[in-house]
Amino acid sequence: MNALNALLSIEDMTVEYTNQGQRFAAISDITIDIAEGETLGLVGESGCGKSTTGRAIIQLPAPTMGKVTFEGRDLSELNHEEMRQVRRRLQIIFQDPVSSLNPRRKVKDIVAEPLVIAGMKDAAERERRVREVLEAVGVDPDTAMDRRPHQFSGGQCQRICVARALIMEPKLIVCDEPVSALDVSVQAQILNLLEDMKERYGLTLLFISHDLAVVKNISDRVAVMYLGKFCELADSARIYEAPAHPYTAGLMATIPDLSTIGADAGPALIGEIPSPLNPPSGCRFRTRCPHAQERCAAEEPEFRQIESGHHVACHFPLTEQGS
Amino acid sequence: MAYLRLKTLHLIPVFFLVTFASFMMLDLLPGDTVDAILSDADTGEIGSMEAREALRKELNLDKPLIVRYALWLGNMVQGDLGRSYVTTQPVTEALVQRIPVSLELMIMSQILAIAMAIPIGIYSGYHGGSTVDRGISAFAFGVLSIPVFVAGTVYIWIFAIELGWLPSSGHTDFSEDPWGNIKGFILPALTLATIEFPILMRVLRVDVISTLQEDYIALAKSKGMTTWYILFHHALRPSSFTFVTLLGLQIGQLITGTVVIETLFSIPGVGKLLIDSVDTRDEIMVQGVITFIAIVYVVVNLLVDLLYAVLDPRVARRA
Amino acid sequence: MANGTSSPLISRLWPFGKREEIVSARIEDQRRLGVIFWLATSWILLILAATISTNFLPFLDPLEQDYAAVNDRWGAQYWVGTDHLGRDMFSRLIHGAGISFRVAFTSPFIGMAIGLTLGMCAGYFRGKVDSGVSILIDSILAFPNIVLAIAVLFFAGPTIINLVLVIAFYTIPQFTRVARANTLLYAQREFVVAARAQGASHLRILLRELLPNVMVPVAAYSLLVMSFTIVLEGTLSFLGVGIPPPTPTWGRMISEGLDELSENPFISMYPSLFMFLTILSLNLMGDRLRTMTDVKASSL
Ligand SMILES: Nc1ncnc2c1ncn2[C@@H]1O[C@H](COP(=O)(O)OP(=O)(O)O)[C@@H](O)[C@H]1O
Ligand code: SF4
Ligand SMILES: [Mg+2]
Repeated sequence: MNALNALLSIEDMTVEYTNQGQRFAAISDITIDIAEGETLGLVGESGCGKSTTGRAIIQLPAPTMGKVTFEGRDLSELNHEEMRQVRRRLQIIFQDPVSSLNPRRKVKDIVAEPLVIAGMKDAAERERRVREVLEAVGVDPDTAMDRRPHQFSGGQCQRICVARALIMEPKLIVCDEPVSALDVSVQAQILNLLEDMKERYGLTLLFISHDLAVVKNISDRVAVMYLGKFCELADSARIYEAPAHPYTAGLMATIPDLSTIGADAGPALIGEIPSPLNPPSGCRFRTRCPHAQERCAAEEPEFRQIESGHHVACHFPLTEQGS
Repeated sequence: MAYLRLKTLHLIPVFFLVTFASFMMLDLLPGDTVDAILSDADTGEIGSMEAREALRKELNLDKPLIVRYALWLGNMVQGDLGRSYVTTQPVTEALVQRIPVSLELMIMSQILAIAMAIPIGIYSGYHGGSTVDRGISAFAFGVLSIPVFVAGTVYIWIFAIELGWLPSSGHTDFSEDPWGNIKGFILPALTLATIEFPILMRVLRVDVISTLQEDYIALAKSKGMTTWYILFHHALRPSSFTFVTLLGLQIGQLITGTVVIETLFSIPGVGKLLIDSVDTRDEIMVQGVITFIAIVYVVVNLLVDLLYAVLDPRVARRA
Repeated sequence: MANGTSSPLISRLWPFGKREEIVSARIEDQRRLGVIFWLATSWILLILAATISTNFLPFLDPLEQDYAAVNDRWGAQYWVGTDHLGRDMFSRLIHGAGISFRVAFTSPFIGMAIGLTLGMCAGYFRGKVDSGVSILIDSILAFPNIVLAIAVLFFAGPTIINLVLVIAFYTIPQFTRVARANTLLYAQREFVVAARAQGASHLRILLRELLPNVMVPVAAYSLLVMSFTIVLEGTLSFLGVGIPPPTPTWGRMISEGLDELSENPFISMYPSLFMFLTILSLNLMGDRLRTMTDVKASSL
């Protein structure tokens, strides 16, 4: 899995939080590479640890255990100043565009902030760059620059967030559910914008969503997460065509226009998500899995490759059952 | 209970902080401490050489600070806070004379405040949202903008001067003249109660409003109980817990109020002792009274915290 | 206060606690400021303007005694009359506002500067910093305010600087609490994470991202703190432990008038009325602005 051209590689990453005095792993032993120029989709139900993964990559907060390598450098070994340099090439976009913009600052200051932090003294040059990037994301600089965030719609705010992320011309952007808070009509616009920007700026994206349908078109590969662990990883086309993990299949069954495509799309997901504070023994999905057997409770399935580029953590993958 | 132990432990540093600050106050005096204490407030004359040496010894001024503090603290826990250089009375003796007077004032004012708060609070809550209720709320807001000395001055003007119903000052011992004693306390206690009751009233009002929304009230009503019976039994009881909290909360305000009221009405309590000692520049007495009030304040707050934890176990668990 | 192990003691010892509760309970949730707000503002501005104008307008000397006109009622020369020493009460009222306003406009700013720093650091860094700040606040509140103020003014001298400082000291906890609560709220917002993702330093985040947001509720709160400082200053003056004579202050004017209540109640009643209106106005303004700007400061 250690591709040579990996821009970002994550090894055995674990993030622990404390909830009411109890320490628990929000994500455990995540390992994955993201290749330069790739878009990796990351899906899973709410609370499974997607945001935690995204935030751990940008080291806010840094993972409890494991290693994040970006552009060949282990981020945990960088000193303060080096990390600041790296941050410019490692950006993040959040779900809630309104909360992502400081309500008390003007758009031009918000978008120029990364430049100021990077030490660009020339105000005229900063303004030129702000105009350029605002135009690129489809916001009219003349009307927008001197306004404050609350004067814009959610979609416009998200465009401004994209502009702020882009202004330092980063290599990788973590998009944490960037369209989940937006109207459906606006979602497509922002997804298109991200694709365009990816093209124009040569970006690599980690695209997080709880919705498989959203991830489908934009991603090259898709990783599916459940209770802080990966359960499936495959090329986008392959995972939609032949999901191997019962959980992936269950997620797909909830999407009307996808369920007809999937080969073995099983029944929709039922039951409650167990608390991450004490996950089930063996396979974490077994409490909700229609195919669960005794072995699933006793033994945790390994995240193994079942065909080229297709990994799954299940003792009884659907693709093998079918054939 | 861990919470009780924690809170009591917490008392120790606060105790040292408060006593040390009180102890250090003498050192804030400009110039030489002995000169400052012995100099006469009116003539500015400083005492004889012998008196000065004696005082220097008594205050241990020849010893290092920490030793002085330890000696002072040792005396203090044995009840010796020094002796006034103006009246020569021991500080503790003066306090013991004054404490019952202040206590009587505080207790009377709190009883009055509660007596005012309960009917008005229940009425206001029972008619929640009505014009009268909003009028009462606005009135309470206004009352809270009146400093206690303004309230007292206005009361004296109206009730003592214009109407002549009650004395504006003077204090008689209860043992000598019980009615005179109570009469002398009515205006002062009423003043304190006036500025304190709106908070109690407010809490009761909210409790009444929420109690009236409970299902069992409808049930009790259907059983033929009168509304007033229900209000007194169901709204007042949960409120008594809030009252305890609030009375604890008021203690700082109550101390301020007592100092002001005793001065305004010439009631010989601890607060008046403090202000009189300030007037006569009685340094040791001022220091002693301040130490006493500060310690009482800390201890009362601890007791309220503990009482609070006993009444509401959630508090203890949070810690 | 720290880590949710809030001592009920801290929240209860708030010098302002009681008033704050009633104040927040009262107000109907309107978005408009309303007529009363503007009336209150006008009163404060009027007194403020009058106080400042004593520097260049020819008001009568507040100390000059006119024995021919003792206890005068209102008239052309002495607009609202004279006191028992024949001093012009109008002039005394205006000059008396001076001390109150000087304290009210300086103490809260000192307290605000310190409180903002402490509260924002506590709310942003949390953990040990938060605990440290809460111990500090605990210590400030260990003395009842009036007693410490009397002590400081008595032992260190009744100067305006000591007065301003000791009152400022007691405004620190209030500002710290509001600043901390709001910082906690805003620090969770994603724009703070975004700033960190851009490599902004803690100082920069505190100053550029958090301060502009936290400042608004804190500034609105300062009006309530001003009313608290005016009460405290007035109380000290009234007790005769504040700024010594001859400087006129409202508090001492009220106490000087006590012996004259039967002859000339106006000596006490005018300054009483002025104080009440000033405190009421500040409370009304502060209350209104606070309900419009603040997140629940009580959610500590
Ligand atoms: N700061 C935090 N402290 C404690 N628990 C957290 C924190 N952030 C997230 N969690 C918990 O970690 C788990 C994963 O959260 P998150 O990564 O936000 O999920 P997702 O983004 O997939 O919805 C959840 O159970 C959540 O409650
Ligand atoms: S391992 Fe067992 S329980 Fe887990 S997903 Fe596979 S079949 Fe279901
Ligand atoms: Mg999330």
